[in-house]
Amino acid sequence: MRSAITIAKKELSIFLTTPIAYVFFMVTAFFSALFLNNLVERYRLLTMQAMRQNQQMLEQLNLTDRVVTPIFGVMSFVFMICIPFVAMGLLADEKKARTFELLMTYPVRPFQIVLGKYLAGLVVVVIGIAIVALFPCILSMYGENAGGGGSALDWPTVLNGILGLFLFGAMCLSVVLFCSSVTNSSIVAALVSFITLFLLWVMSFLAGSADGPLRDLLAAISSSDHFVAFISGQIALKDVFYFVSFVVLGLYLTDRAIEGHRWA
Amino acid sequence: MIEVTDLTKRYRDLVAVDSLSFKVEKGEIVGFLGPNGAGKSTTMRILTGFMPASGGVAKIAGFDVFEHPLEVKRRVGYLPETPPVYNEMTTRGYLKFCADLKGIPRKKVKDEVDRVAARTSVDKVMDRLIGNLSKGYRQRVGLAQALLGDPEVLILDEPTVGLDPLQIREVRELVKSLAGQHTVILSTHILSEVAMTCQKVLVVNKGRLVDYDTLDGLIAKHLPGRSVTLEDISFLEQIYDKLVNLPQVSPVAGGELQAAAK
Repeated sequence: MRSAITIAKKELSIFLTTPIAYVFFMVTAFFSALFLNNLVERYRLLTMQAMRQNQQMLEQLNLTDRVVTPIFGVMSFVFMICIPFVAMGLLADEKKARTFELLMTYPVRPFQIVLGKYLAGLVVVVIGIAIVALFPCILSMYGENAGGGGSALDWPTVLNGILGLFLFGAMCLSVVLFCSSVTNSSIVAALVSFITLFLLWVMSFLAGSADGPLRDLLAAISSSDHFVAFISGQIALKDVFYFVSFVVLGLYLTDRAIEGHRWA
Repeated sequence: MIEVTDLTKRYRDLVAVDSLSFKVEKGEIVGFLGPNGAGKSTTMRILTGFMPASGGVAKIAGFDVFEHPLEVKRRVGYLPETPPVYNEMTTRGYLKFCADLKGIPRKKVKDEVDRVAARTSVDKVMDRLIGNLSKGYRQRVGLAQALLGDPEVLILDEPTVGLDPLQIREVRELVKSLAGQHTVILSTHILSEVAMTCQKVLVVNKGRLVDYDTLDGLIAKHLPGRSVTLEDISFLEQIYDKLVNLPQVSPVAGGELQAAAK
């Protein structure tokens, strides 16, 4: 475990001395803020319209569904684009710079390398999520419940969304880490992992045009379907299981890929 | 200490190492000589467990490098052809990282880092980013990394590449001082280097062992009756040392030297 933490610390120190992690944080903050502004404005117009025309609709309007959930949805897409670029070099750069030879000739097991790299990436992802989570907090400070009193947000749903974002980010990271382990070009790792993640994301659209068992299958492997369950507050065990199994599979394959280097 | 039997490494249609066999006893310093592409680096990479052999057995301290990689890796310090340094880290951060990864007890890490830094004279650049260091310093940081934890076996792939003549001498002295306690294999192209630091010479060509003997043995075998002295190689170094180490050479002093030379 000490080796894994040592590697994680080293990766983090490199993340924080190179611009890549900061760019990720900035992009995250920028898009969260942009959509918060936009969605709050739209929410204001909608409530005004509802006040004039439809009292019943007004009761159903709330900040959680109308502002926070869409922000999480957008941010998952931003994560899907950014995480490949944040983590693309985790193993590919080591191979390119020949420092991989150091790791491979030190008394370290492949899995300790994988775990260390993954943990470092996860810390960056968690900081990104913390930035996103800042915006619901701001909203709850200034927003008001329609009925007056109480919190403006439905916190269980918000926390569900944050958990979903975390699991989704963890899945993206494991896919990128694996891609990074089988090439020594970080750009190739980023592109291949982005295409993989994007394909998984759009599976639900493909499912729409299929029938029968194929339709069920496509829907089941679509990451967006499982993610939407989280942000809409309808969390089920199968959704957690989906993301966790992706992480486990990704880490296992990465471990095998590194072990494979010892054999060829 | 190091036992290699029938070691073979085949790439698709190229035999990089061809049934190589040799033994190195504890405390010996062995020079690994051979032209480019002779299989020196490949052999070293197999010995350190970085790549597998296609055939044959390599054992270090009695452990097969493929069957018991962790046992072998704990006992070996390795300097690859390209120094495996992270450009984004400081020298201190890098050496600390390496010490932690080698499993050196936490309390001893700082002392150990200072020790190897002093031995390889990188102690002046401890807080600079490795990416900003000159090639010679990067090479020495790589060497410092190999010395961490005082491993029994040192495998050094061209340790003096990129160093200036004085640094080369320092590294040679360093390697010489390791004799007895450590077993060292070092590869090089520089013949004089082998003559000055190594007790035994292992010559390979096209992956095959050409000869393996002590220096005297080789001279007796291949140049019978000729006396070879080391002085004729090292006088160049001494002159250079004097010139470089003069305290603040003024242009006048330089002129005088030139005049004296004439």
